[in-house]
Amino acid sequence: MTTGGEGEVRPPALARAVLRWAVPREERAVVDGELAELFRRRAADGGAGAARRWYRRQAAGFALRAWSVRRATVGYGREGTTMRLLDDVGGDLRWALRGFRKRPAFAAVAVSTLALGIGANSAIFTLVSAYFLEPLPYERPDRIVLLWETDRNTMDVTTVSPGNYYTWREETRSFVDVAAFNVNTATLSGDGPAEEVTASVVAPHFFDVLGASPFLGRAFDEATARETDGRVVIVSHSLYVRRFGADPGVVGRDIRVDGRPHRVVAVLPPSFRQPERSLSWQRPELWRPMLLDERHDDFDSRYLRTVARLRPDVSLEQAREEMALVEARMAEAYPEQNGGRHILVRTLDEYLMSDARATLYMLLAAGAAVLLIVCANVANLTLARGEERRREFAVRAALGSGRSRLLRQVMVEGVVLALAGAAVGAALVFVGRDLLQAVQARFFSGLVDVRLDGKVVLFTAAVAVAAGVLFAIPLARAAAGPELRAGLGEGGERTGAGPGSGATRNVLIVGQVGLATTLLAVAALLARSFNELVSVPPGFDAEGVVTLSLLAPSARYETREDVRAYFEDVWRGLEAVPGVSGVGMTSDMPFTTENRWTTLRVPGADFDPGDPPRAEFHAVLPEFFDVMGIPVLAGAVFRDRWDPVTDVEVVVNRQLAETFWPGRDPVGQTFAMDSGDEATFRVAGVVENVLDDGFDARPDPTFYLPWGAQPNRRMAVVARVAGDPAAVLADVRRAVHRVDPDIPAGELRTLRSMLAETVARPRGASLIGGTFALIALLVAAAGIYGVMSYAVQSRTREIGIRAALGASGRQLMGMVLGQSTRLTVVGLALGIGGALAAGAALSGLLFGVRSWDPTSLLVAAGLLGGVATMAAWVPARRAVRVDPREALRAE
Amino acid sequence: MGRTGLGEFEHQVLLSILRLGRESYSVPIVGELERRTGRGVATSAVYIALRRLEKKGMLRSRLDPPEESGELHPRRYFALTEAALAPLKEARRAYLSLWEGLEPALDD
Repeated sequence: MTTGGEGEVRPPALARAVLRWAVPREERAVVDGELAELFRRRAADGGAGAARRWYRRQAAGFALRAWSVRRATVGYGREGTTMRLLDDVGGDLRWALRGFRKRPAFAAVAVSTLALGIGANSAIFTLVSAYFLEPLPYERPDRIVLLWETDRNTMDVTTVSPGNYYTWREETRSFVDVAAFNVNTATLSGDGPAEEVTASVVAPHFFDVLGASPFLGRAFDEATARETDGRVVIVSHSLYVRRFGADPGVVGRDIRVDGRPHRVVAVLPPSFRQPERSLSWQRPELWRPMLLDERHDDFDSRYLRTVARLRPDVSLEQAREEMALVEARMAEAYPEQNGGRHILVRTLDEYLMSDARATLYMLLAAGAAVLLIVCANVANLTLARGEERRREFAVRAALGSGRSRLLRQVMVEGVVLALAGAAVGAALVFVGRDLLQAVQARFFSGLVDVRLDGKVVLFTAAVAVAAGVLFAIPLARAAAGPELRAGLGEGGERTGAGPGSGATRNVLIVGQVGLATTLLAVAALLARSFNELVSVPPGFDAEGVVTLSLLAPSARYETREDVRAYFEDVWRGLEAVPGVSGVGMTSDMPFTTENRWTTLRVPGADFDPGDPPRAEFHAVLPEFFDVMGIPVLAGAVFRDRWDPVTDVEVVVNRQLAETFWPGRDPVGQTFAMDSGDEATFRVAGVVENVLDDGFDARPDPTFYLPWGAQPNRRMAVVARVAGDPAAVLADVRRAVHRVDPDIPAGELRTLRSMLAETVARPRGASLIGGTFALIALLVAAAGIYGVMSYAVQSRTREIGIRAALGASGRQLMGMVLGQSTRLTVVGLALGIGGALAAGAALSGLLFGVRSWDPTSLLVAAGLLGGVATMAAWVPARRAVRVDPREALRAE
Repeated sequence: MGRTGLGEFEHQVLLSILRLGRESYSVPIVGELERRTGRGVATSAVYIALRRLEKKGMLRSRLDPPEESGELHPRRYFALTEAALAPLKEARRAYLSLWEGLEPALDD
């Protein structure tokens, strides 16, 4: 007898050895153990002897069948959980695909809906990725700051004077270095057709400050720039490819820039970006060194932008503190030029991103809302299908698929659908990538390239997986629930809305209606806000006008007469351009942030001594009002133009007239600037208010005086054109260059495009918001229609019975629509609540409308309520019309 | 019988597993077979049948190591796949068809 331990009966050793010999190694432990277990049971039931005899018979059986055993065992090698899981998932995949082939309509609808939702989110992500996830093409961009000046009173941000720039560079300790730069244009000629490109004039150490290295060659430095008298250039990668055929030999070669030979010393890499945010400028393609030696003490001209790199041991706060001290010092040393001016230190990130951030967050939220609606929709679709597949789930459960296996199967199905939708959505985004880039350029800063790269693909896949799991949850719960067993017994008939899944479907419908209502309301808000914004009359007629800005540099136009001669030549030259019917000038264009202010002495007016009267003022040519279409309300425009005058006639705007002389005739009134200047101004005429600061600002008291009384080196020119203003831009530029080729026609564009740029962001927000709301509306409507169709169909029998019992069509409709109406109302209520919250969050983006604007809410609720009712009404009507006998037969 | 056909014993093994309701290892399968057929069963025959059925795709198995299951020895669990459904139904149909009308004659 073979025993071990106290009373433990063991299998006979010889038989066991035979058994182990007969069974291949891979399965030996399994068979050994299982037979031992059977042996113990037999020993317990029938005694040790019987058990041993049985064991020997089994061992003999294995021995006699050893060859078959070996053949059967082939393939039981390593076995890991991973392999098994992969096998199982592979099976689930095949099962899912088989299911879709059997129901192609369902799959097509689900995939299309998902494509919309996931595609929209991918599109938004490309923008988010370009803005927030791409590193800026500089070294340690978090240490780079931009330095600006601001007017202390108006806080308008302005460019910097050379004198201040040099002071900041030489007398501060917070920065490794400070570099100035500016943007204009350059004409390339010689080795190719003459081409005008956007160019940048930069301090020689500009690229060092940014930490940007060239792709070819070496950037110029101060020494090189001086040796060559500034005749060196660096070109962008795009110019290198486009004009020079990507020939590395261009480095070291001379090219003609503005008619003079310049040596190309370097090519920048394709990723380089100028730290610029302007919407209207194209990116610079050419960089020239700026040599400002003679400007060290020029504190008047303000045209430089400056970028600086913080020292490693200096924080932003410390730099700001130092600049505050510098600011005070400069105001004291140069009160006329620097008094009342503040130095603004902004991080590069803040400068480039701050505007875009709010809008991008809004887009992300809208995208998430649309995706949720899409998921709810598809969840409803899969739930409906799940009713039909109850039997299938029951059979699988009988075959041994546990709850977790069924859940995994449903999830795999969901993820497969979602990935298919994501693939279609991503394809749509790819096809529309040019549109995306255009949207980005128009409505955001245009600084970044929208790229469909690995990050976007990863995001899309992640969203797809999340969405797939999300909308599969309701079905998974139903699949793994107790109704399963019932499914087998009933013969798998469709029982309509089972208690669990019906409640889930209702929740999904309410959710869809609610989210769609919120999106619609927000879109309506944005649209109304945008409409309010552009409905404000700007005070001038923007059609048919071109504008540009000119600066007569003090180096070459020292005296007032020099400057006057230049501007007069420009003025005459432009008047001669074919198509131009009038030319005017102003020191400050409306809708720009450059404004001048002064306090006034107004005889006879009653003002609080602590709050003296203030007004904006502009130096203009008398033609300015006519060209801009600014209506003259009283009196007339002065006739003085270039000559200095002692008795200055001015034109005031309506706001000034009403503020200083309410109820009196302003023509003939006098006032003076409070700066100690003796000159008195007499009002010759009154013009309509012009919105100097943008659509969303109120007009301030403003007066206009002739250039002769307030000579300015920097003037904006406006020219009225018969016909399409865009067609004369080239002629205008040529006319300006003819007077002085070294002074570029800055910011040359049509007035209409200038206005459009100022509202580009709100327009973009409104358009995009509207698009999302429309998608949400369509998807929600489709979802409601689908669910209602299904629900109504399931009640066909009930409808038939009631009809047979004499219920009228109206009563039946009421019964059928009752539930959908209740759901819609609940959804609308939730949606309105969401809209109120969203409106409050977006109040910063709104203009002229309240965040709880009742019109927007009503429109949204009404539209969605109407669409939801129609979506339910159509299938209900169909069901009610069916012959009761058909209905009773239907199963 | 062809590759997807079922032998009699294989038929019995499949039905036993189905009766057991979930995946099972050989000990309860042998028990169920012996209980239902009223005869002793050769474990080697069960061993071979299980693995052949797995190769035919009608069963799938997984190994449960003792360190995970807490049992004394590793167990190999078997469960039916959907591929087993059709042959099972066909075998049943064949038997019932052959038996049709014969039961009363053979009743005792």
